[in-house]
Amino acid sequence: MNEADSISPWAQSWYRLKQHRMAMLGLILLSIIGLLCLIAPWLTSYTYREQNIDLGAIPPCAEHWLGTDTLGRDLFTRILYGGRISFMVGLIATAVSLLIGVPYGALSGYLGGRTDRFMMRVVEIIYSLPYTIFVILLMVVVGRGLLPLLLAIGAVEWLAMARLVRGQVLAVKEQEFVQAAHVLGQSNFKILSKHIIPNVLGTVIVCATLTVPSVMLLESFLSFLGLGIQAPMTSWGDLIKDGVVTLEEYPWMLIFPSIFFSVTLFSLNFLGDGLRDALDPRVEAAR
Amino acid sequence: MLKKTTKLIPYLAIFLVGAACSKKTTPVEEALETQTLLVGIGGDPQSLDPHVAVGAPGKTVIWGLFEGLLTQHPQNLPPVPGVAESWDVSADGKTYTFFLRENARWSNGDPVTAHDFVFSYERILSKELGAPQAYSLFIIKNAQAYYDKALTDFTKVGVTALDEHTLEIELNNPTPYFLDLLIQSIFFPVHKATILKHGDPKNPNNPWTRPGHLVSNGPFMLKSRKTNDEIIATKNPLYWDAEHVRLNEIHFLPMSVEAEEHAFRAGQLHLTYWVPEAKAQKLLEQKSPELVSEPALIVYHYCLNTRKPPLDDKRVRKALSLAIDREKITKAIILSQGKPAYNFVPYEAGNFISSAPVKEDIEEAKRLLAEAGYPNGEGFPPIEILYNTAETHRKVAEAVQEMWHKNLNINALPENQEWKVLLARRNTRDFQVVRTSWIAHYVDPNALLELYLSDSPINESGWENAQYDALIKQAATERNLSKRRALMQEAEALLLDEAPVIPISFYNMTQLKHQSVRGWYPNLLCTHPYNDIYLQASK
Repeated sequence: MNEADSISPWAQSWYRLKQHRMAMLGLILLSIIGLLCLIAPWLTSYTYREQNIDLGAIPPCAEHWLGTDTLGRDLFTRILYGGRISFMVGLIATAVSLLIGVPYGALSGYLGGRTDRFMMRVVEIIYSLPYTIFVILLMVVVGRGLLPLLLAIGAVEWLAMARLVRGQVLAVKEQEFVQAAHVLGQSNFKILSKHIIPNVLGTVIVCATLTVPSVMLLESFLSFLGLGIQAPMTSWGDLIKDGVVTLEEYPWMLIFPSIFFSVTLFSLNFLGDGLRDALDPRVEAAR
Repeated sequence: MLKKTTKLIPYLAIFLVGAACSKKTTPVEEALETQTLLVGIGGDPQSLDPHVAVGAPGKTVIWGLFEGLLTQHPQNLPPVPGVAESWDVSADGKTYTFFLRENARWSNGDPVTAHDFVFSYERILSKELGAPQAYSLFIIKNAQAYYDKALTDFTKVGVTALDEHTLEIELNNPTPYFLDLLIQSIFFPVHKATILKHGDPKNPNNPWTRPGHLVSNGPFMLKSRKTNDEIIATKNPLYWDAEHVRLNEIHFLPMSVEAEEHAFRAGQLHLTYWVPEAKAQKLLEQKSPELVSEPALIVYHYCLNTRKPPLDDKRVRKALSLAIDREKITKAIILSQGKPAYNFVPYEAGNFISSAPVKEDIEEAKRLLAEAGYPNGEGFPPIEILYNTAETHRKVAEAVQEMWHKNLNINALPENQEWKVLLARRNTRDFQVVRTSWIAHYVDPNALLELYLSDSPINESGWENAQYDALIKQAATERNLSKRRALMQEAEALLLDEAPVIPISFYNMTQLKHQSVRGWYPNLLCTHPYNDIYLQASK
């Protein structure tokens, strides 16, 4: 095969992703919201904690684009800052899950035998604990705050990742190129890192994209229970929790954060969907 | 055209019948028939033992189950005969003789006797029980000595059963408001045989208050109790005045403030414990007849743990107190009819006027904080503000957090807990700042000031001040009213200066009351005897 006239698998995937309309829409929306959150300090003249109690809750107007909450804090600013936290929790917890889950699953699948069985039983034991209760217990032990929150969520999210990677590795390690590497005398570490992991990367990326929204949802759920972020910092889940109480009197306090949150969740899910199609090698084989 | 219309008639009829059938009656409507009162109590009571209970949820229930020597006139507060039919006061104002009704009965048929009261008061004054309001009895002769174990013989304490139906109470000093004190739930009697049957009378967790065990002497008796779900009290047929009690049952429902409001609108509650502020504001503007918002002797305050640094420093506490804008908090968060609390005792408590109110003074606060070793808040460790689940409390905590941050550059961390957890943490002094609202039990400044006496079990601040104790004790014996008031003012000024408490607001008691509830009146003490309440459809 001539290297020059074939396009790389990544470029092919990108091409396929571009064909996926919903995924592209998701990507664009996500970029917009992400960018807004990122440049929040330059977008508004308010801070997330600055109160104007005398003002109270007012509906959207020229000074406060999305209105204010009951303590007179600018809602637009709080949504952007809250988005930062939500995104950060989503990304970091996913990164934690990757960092633990991928090596763990790869090792387990590659080594096989007794080690594999032991490592998987550990995963299953943790998996069998009720998910939310486990997170809540962890938070009670480690305390409240952003870091414990990330830790607690990351600590449960890596399980699914580890299982998935193990399954993929089991399949890949039987293939000829891995056997060839063995025969050539490459070390286990090198085989894992150079040959096996890159081959399961597609699946991992898809899984990670879908982990981000589920983590964000979990964070908002914990915030909703009052276990999330420490005031005055806020997150989307926290904002929605505040908004629900005064749904009738100050509907904007619920509606705007909810819009931001759901659009982001939808976008992430569409993107994940698109990526799954784009990165699946079987699609290529079918052509 | 006409034909077309007539054709529609059968359909219309079916529609109307259907609509009529599908209309369900709500529990509140059904209650008119059954005379069942549905009351929201805000949280699950930590105890139904009148001597052990703290907080409004428990007391609301206890008022239905028990009755003291005297009870309260439902509308205006003067004490009216309860178990005691009549009473005599000695010439020196120190000895009260109560003549109990011959027909007062416990719910198991036993007569309510003077001995029951002696047993009850001995129980309250046993330190092992840990009765949070035991101090209310200290006006009785030798009561405090017995409580402090300086005296072991209870017969020396000024509570004597002269015979089955005559009780004599001897006081340390003539106390003009003694009869007002007697209507408090701490003075309610308990049934000796029941308590002894179920364990040690001095064990606060004695299971005698469980449904099936509980024997009470009030207009109602406990029928069932499901934790966090429902407490049902049913009419006590043996109650001496049972023929005048018109309700058949009371259902006490522990719900969150927000849930209560929904339940009320869905016709599931007659009375709520509280109303969310935003809702109350709206109803107030609409002049809703269902909204009841009346002044009460309540002070919303933060209690500080003076045993833990950095709050063990008086200057720090004072700085925190000075850096709060009470008016803003009151106007925006607590209802607008509330009043900012620049001092601890509301005016309604016997026309009390503070001699040293705390006004916002940021410069002074900064200076005090710097003096305490934290110039511009540097090195100040974050302090935790503990509050129980409710939107108002959360908002107040966040507003205070921001004011302290803005004015003093220090960090506070609001921490939300459930009511029972909050109480437990209060009791073990496991907090730094805890939200507290205290409703006075009688109309006198003393009702609030005595909370922070060194030996008051309610005083969880750990603040002990001999001068304060002396002033309150001196006021108790002072017969000259203006001198007495001056002593109270001096004590309050000391309390505000030492700042184991940060008063924030005096607020109105705000509730929702269904139109069909009759014989229920708002009052300063927020206690409501159920004897006169009945349900009648409004015309």
